[in-house]
Formats: sequence, structure tokens, C-alpha cells
Amino acid sequence: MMCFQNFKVRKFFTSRNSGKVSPDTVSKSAENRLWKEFQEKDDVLKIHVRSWLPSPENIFRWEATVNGPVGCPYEKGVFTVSVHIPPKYPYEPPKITFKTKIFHPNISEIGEIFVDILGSRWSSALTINLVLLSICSILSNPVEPLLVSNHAARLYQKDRKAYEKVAREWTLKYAKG
Amino acid sequence: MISDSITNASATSAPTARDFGKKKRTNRSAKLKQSKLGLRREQWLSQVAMINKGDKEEMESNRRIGSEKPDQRDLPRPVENLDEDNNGTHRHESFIESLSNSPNSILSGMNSIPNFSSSSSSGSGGSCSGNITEEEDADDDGCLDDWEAIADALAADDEKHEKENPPESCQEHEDIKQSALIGGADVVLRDAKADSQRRKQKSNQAWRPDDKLRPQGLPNLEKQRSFPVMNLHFSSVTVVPSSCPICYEDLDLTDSNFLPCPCGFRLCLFCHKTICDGDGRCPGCRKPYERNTIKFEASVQGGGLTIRLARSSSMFCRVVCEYIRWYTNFKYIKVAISLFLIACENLAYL
Repeated sequence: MMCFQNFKVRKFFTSRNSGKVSPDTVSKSAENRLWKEFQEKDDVLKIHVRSWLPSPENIFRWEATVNGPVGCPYEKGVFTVSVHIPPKYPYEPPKITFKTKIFHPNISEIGEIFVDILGSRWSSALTINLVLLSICSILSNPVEPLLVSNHAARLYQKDRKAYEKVAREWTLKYAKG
Repeated sequence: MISDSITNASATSAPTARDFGKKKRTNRSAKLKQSKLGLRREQWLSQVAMINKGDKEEMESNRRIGSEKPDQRDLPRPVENLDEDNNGTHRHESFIESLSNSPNSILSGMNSIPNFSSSSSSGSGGSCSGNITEEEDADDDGCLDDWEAIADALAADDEKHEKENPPESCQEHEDIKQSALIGGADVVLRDAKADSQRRKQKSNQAWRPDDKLRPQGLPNLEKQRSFPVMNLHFSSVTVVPSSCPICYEDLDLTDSNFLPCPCGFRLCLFCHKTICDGDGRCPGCRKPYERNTIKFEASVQGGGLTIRLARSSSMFCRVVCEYIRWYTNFKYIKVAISLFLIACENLAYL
């Protein structure tokens, strides 16, 4: 409660009296928001995503598991992702990487995710949970533009069946729950 | 008309000494005979005021009418014209006084009445006839009506003193001048037509002030209609999310009234400022914020809901002021007409 009260007073002074917003204020705002996001309970979210904190004190570091949707090559797969949240969140997008190997046109071999909502089309209204659900959605439907340098993207364009075969093999090999 | 003019000529030729006062009385008695009803007489007197206030063109038109008459009676007519000019000047001065002293119109009217009586008494004679006695009875009835008008004017002035404001008084003067100009135009139209149609024109002119007042009333009604729209807008504001989707803080009254983007995405002022310092794009629709909304933000930061209430209250005050201005204007015209009628009645009586 003391922390909350201090936050209110600080916010009042910075928004009314000074012309600039201090990084400390933004960080406090991000921390407050992330705690509320972490405690959010949603039925759809429970089915597809499960998140936890590696260290309970640090709210800027999440880990989560994303279940492969039904009806796609990643079915029955459990993929672990790592979420790094910047201090300027929600004004800057989080960095999400796959710790589990996955054969996907939008995900590089080292696990980087190339999706527009995590880059140029990021919005302050998006939340970590919404982003994780979006990643779950792109597993079944890759989105443009694809990674040109990625083998999965090239195979996805040339031979769809071969792509699905390789994806299913990788899922059984690396993403077994 | 010809018989009346012959009788006037014979009356003037009989006495050796010419008195201007007698001629004034005979002219007025002749004119008053034409209209027996009190209402028509009052209308005629008001129209005479308009004639006196008219431009030079009206004088030229009167001279043309004089020129049409036979040559034998040229000599007495210019003298009568001079008398009419004197009457016009007196009435013109009285009307100007009433215009100049709007809050004290009754006092100026009371001062003007003895002036006319003194001037007429200095020139008048002692002769009286049966017709004149009948006219005196009619004048008495008119005086009673005028006293009732004075009572109404007193009540109107009391209301004026309570509601008076400097800018409204200036507007009242302008409106009265416009109405006077319109009256002058009507007089020109009347002179152009024949004498037989004067009665019809009188009946037509009686309705024209009401017609003039109607277009002034309609905008007020339209403004009053716009007021409920403000109510609807205010009611729509109540459907507002309770917390900011960016920082998850509760939205206070200032933030609840803040709507920076037409897409309807709401956020608190603190987050809006942070976003503007960054890329300046709306989180809801990903479009850049416009500059106009930034000005709106600056204005809202001061008071928030109080500003909106002040805006709606100022709208209400504007509507009320429009109505008060219209009402006082109407009362003022009524007072001026009644005072002018009082002055004319006193002149005719003495």
C-alpha cells in the first residue's frame, strides 16, 4: 500500500508540474501493469498458454509454454518460450524467443520470432497474454512476410507437404511434453 | 377631399390677421374627421411619425402631390407646408429624446409633454365649434387608454432595470434604428399609392411589426433545440471504462472526459503524454494523433469535468440572454409607441 501511495503522488507531480516523464515513473507503471497482467485469468488463455516467473521478485522476466493448436503439424507439442520485458513497457514491445527448437517459417533456428506486432505494429494496448495467444495462432497459420533466409520458409513455399512432414518430425523430437 | 379643402380656404380668407396656431388646429381637425374610430386614428398618428422621420424623397413626393392641385390655391399651401415642417421637427426631436434615453424613457416623455403644451398654448385661439367638442370627448377616452399604457411602461421599465446589461442596450439601439428605417420604406410605398387605399395599407401595416419579430424569435428556438443535444452528449459520456488500458490505473473525472482519438480509444492523460513524447500513435487504431486533439488535451488539463459543465452552462446562459434581449426589445418598442401616442394626443387636445 505504501508503494501504491508513493506511486500516485509521484505520478501526480510528474504529470502536472514537470515537462518530462522520468524513467523511474515509467518503470513503476510497467511493474504495476505487469503484476496485474500476470494475475489475469482467462479460459481461452488457460487452454493454450501457461506462464510463470523464473524468479518471483523479477516481474520483467517471464517464461511460458505454448501448446500446439489442434489440426496443425505442431499438434500435441509443448513449446517453451522466454519473455524479456523492457523497462519502457508498454511503450516498447517485449522480446520473446523460443527455447524449444521448432520448424516454422516465422521463427528462426535460434528461436527468434519475426512477427509485425512485435515490431513495427506494436501497440501499447497489447498485453503479454495477448501476444502469447497470437504466437499460438501463427503456429497453425504462418503470416507474411516470411524469413527468406530460413529453410522452413523456403520449404513452406515450395513443397507444403514436405514442410508439414518436417514440422511434425521436429515436434515429436523436441517438443514432447 | 375637395369640399374639405374649399371650407378650409374660406375659413382662412375670412379673418384679416393670419394665425399659425389656428391653421394648425384646422388642419388637424380636418385630418381627424377623416377617421372616426380611435384605433384608426392611433394608427394614423403613428404613421405621421414615420412620415416626419422619412428622407428628403418623401418631402419631394409631398410637393408633387401639392403641384397636382389647381393653381388658384398655390399661395396658402406653401404656408401650410411650413407648418407641417414645424410639426415634424417637434415630433422628430421628441422621438430622438426617447431613443437617446432608453432607461429613462418615461422621464423624457413626461418632460416633452409640457413643452408641446406650452408651444401650442402660445399660438392657439379661443374659438370652438360643435365638431371640436366631439373630438375633445374622443381625446378624453384616448387619455384614459394612455394612462393605462403608462402603467404598463412603468412595469416594463422596472423589469428593464433589473435585467439591464451594457452590451444588450447597444444592441437594442441598433435594432430600433433598423425598425425605424423599415418604417420609412413602408411610408414611401404608402405615398406612391392613391389616397383611397390608405385604410387598407393601415390594416396591412399593423401586422408588419409582428412579422418582423418572428424571424428574430426563430433563431432563439433553434438555439434552445440545440441544448438537448448537449444533454445527450453529456449522457453518452457516462459510459466510460473505469481504468486505463495502458497503465491499469483508475480513470478520474479529468481522464474520463478525455477523448484524444476519433476511434474512441480512452486512456489517461499521463499515458497520452508519454505516447506523444514517443511515436505519437494511437494504441487503438495505430494512427498518429492529430494536433487539434492535443489542443483539446491542453484545455482539458485545467479543469476537466468542470470545463465541460462550464461550457454547457455558458450555452444555457447564451440562450437565456438571447431570450431576455428579445423580450426587452419588444417591451421597449411598445413603450416608445405609447409615449409617442401620448405626446400626439396632448398636441391635438391643446
